[in-house]
Amino acid sequence: MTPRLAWIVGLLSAALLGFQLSLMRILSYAQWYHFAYMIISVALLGFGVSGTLLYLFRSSLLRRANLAVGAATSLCSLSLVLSPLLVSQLSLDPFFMVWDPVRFWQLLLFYIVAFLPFFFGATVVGLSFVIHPDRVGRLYFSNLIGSAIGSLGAVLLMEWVYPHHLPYVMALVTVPAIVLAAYGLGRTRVLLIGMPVLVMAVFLIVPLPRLERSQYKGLSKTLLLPDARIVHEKVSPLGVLEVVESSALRYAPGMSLSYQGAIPNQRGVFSDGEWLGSILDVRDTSALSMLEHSIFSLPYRLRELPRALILGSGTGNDIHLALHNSAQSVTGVEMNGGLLDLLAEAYKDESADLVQDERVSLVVGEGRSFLARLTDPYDVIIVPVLDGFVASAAGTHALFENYLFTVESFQTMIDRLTDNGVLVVHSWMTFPPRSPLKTIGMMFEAMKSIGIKNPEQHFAAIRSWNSFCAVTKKEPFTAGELQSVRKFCDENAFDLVYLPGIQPGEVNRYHVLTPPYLYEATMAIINGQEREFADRYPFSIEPATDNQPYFSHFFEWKRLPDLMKAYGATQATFFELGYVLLLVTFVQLALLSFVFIILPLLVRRVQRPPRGTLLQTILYFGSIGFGYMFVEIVMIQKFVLFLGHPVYSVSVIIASMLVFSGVGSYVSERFAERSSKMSRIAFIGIILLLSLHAVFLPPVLSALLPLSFGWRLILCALLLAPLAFLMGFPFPLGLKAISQQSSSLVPYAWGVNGYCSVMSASMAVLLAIELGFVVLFILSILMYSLAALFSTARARGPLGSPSLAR
Amino acid sequence: MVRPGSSRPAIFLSSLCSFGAVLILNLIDLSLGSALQQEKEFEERRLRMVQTQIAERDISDLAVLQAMRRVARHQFVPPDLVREAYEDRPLPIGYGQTISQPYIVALMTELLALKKSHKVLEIGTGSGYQAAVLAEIVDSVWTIEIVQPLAKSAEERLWRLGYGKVQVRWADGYYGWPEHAHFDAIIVTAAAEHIPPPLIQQLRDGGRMVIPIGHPFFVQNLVVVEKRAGKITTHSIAPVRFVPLTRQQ
Repeated sequence: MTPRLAWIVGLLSAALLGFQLSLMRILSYAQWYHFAYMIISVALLGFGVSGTLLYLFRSSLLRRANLAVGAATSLCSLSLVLSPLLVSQLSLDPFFMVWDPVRFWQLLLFYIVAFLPFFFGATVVGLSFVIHPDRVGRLYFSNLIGSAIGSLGAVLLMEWVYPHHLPYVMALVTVPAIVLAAYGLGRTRVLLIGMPVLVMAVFLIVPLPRLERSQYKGLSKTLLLPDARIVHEKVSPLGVLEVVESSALRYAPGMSLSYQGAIPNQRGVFSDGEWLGSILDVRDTSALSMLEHSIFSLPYRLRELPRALILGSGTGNDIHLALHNSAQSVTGVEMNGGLLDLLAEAYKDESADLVQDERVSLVVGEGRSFLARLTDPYDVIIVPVLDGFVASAAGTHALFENYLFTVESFQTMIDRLTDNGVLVVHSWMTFPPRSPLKTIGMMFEAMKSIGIKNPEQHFAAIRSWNSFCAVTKKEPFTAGELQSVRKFCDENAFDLVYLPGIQPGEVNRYHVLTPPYLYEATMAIINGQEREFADRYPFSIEPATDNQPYFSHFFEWKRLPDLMKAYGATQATFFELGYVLLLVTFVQLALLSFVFIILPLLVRRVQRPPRGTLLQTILYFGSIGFGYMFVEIVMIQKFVLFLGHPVYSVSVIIASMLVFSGVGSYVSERFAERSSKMSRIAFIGIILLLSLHAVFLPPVLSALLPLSFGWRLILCALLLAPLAFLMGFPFPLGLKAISQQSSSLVPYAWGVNGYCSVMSASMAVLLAIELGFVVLFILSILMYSLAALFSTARARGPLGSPSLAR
Repeated sequence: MVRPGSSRPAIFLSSLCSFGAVLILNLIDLSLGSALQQEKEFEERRLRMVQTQIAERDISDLAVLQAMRRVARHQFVPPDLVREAYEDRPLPIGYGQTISQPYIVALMTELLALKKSHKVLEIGTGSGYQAAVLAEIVDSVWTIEIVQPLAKSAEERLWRLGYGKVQVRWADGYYGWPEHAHFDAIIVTAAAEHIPPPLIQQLRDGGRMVIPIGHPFFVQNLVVVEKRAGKITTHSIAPVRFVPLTRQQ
């Protein structure tokens, strides 16, 4: 039965990993991206609980092994189709959760519904190990290779398949597995195969229901406008791109209040239901006139006929503005290639054939990797606003790793300027001010770190009633330039935040901010009192760095009492909803996994294990559970910059780690004779490689960043290979060793490992935000060192654990 | 009392009718009593709301406080949220919109510095609650809602509750209401990344406009736009006292 079982395990593993990534996409579309880490934990919970189930009902399941495998395969397949349908019926709106505790129960219900496919699938994988303990290496290999194929396959499918169709495709993958599993089961076979296949057949005829977006997402609200309709739709792994037209759709960020012209009608572009930007019809003269009266035209008052670089050119409005201001050339870098397709095809006329304009170069890619490849300097480098106006206030992006808004990124940008060039960074005016304050601090930090003396002479900032613009130069500002900034502000009723030589009476003339936070913050930095200012400020305005690239994270635990006192306990959470949700899901899943993984083991002790070895087992398997997931999460986050987007990073890292750990586990079987020695070698290797990664990974990745995407993918896998290979050793070697000591220890090993894995996925993200990636590397090293200390790998022969995202 | 000669079925029928009539009257009385009791309870909660959530947070404009005491907020929320109408928080009203937290409604109204003779334009009617509060203070209120079902239900609700003088229009708020310009005060109840030029044009010289900044469930800041001699200035008003934290004590 082994080859058949190996195929079943491989197919189910592929479907489950694909399903995991599909759920992440579905929730990003219907809600927000921060649910992604919750899905990883839910998947691991499914695997953990299946381990407990196998322990509790081992003998009865083994008695009817074929039927158990067939039933679990069939139920896994069925739940892959039905679970997303049920999920779509649950209102997970995080805004409501803050007010209404009942919503937290809905979240619990969500875990259960989303958990089912993982639980049934993992039961099959675990059962296969129990049925064929002598073939665990091969089955484990199938599990990991299948998972890796599922992970990469899902990302490829996202190029063509809508998020709500993806789970259905994953269910189709399981059909051959059901047929194989039902083989030899007589009449029951009809039921096992028929049930899921019938449900799938229904959805071949009845269209799958579309996903309900949160009513608070930008797209949902825009579609309520008169005659609003979606006129263009395109799927990609980066999100669903949708274009909306409505006679009432207008967008004029950073516009001067003294502008009395018309704001033209525009097309709104959304990615996963969130505002990306608007497509202007530049044939309408009011469009360019409006842009000209916005805060975004400041750089063109400082540089004539510039060569401009726009990092995040979006829907092209910044490019239009640059061309309108006689830019010699404009380079637009945009991660989302779908936007460029829109400008090249559907909105070619409206955008004055921007893509074909000989002055314009459009690059699909991530800003940092473009900067790394850059050789020629630019006169103007522009970083547009990060997100939509309302989203910036909602704190839904607090968990985003943003490598464009870090001190290191600003350093590179300043370095890539011509001698008299200007770096311009835009942000919204949040209240109390957060993004602008962080931007100011980061610009000064970047200038200081590249050796600019008297940075206060190289910096200027202005603001409108709701937007902010900071400018840095390599050379000090000249009197003529300062005069230009003052004139621009007077003409458009913008306020000066800071200029070299500014007088206190010059700030707060048009848009009164009490107290003038931004001016005070800049002066505090100039006077060397930034630490005192930051200590008094109610939010964290510490510069974001490549080690902690969370520009939109402003929450500080020590400020929580002040915030709660001022805003009330519930309102305060709205400052950083993403972070709060991560905490809530972490606590809920930790409790759930304790109840469903650990508690059954404690309640139903078949045989009391030896006291000393039990503690050793818990510490050993707990440490490698935490260690493995810490490494995986830190790698996912570190490689976001290298690969350009979280979707690529999540899929490539998970797939690479699964493949190489799988190979490691498989190979460990060959060293069964010398398992104790191998274990020591593996731990030394892991600790050594982790230390090397902690120190050398950032510079190595920076050096390799200019390479093409294909090369970066290959190098990513190669960089991870040795570490992941060795990380495949400790679990099977440890399991084999304790099973020879006392078979009653095995379920504890499974349970503790599963429990720690569930907790560590969210915990790793929290630690990365609060303490940075270096600390997470150190903690991983610590975990593996502890595991090495408690190593019990003395026995012969390997055993494996079913694995998903670890 | 049974008359001599009456048949038994007639007596039974007559008794049944009398019993039924008494029962119906009692039920009506009970129901009216219960409704009155409930209204009284809502009024008590409303007065408590004004005292604890508004007056104690430094809203001192007597007209605003009185208006907040008078408008039955529970009539403006969805039926399943009636019990929560007087809580210190915004409530969802569908279509991605909310009825603002009572304190924010009061603060925005106070910031408009209204007089009885003022003409007020509201952009974003929502449930109609803010318009009703305004109508308690001034004579003329015009309100525009872009989402048709909201505009329709708000108009019907305002009429039913005796705020017939509030003019409701289903339209794009970008254009304002030029037929009735200029306005002494304009209140924009939804955060926007720009202020439409027609609204600035329709603001009377010396007039005020108030715009909330944040998202539907959390107003982080209020921007007061003032027009004086054609010149526009804005003031950022934090809804809570957070300033001392930024200054050395």
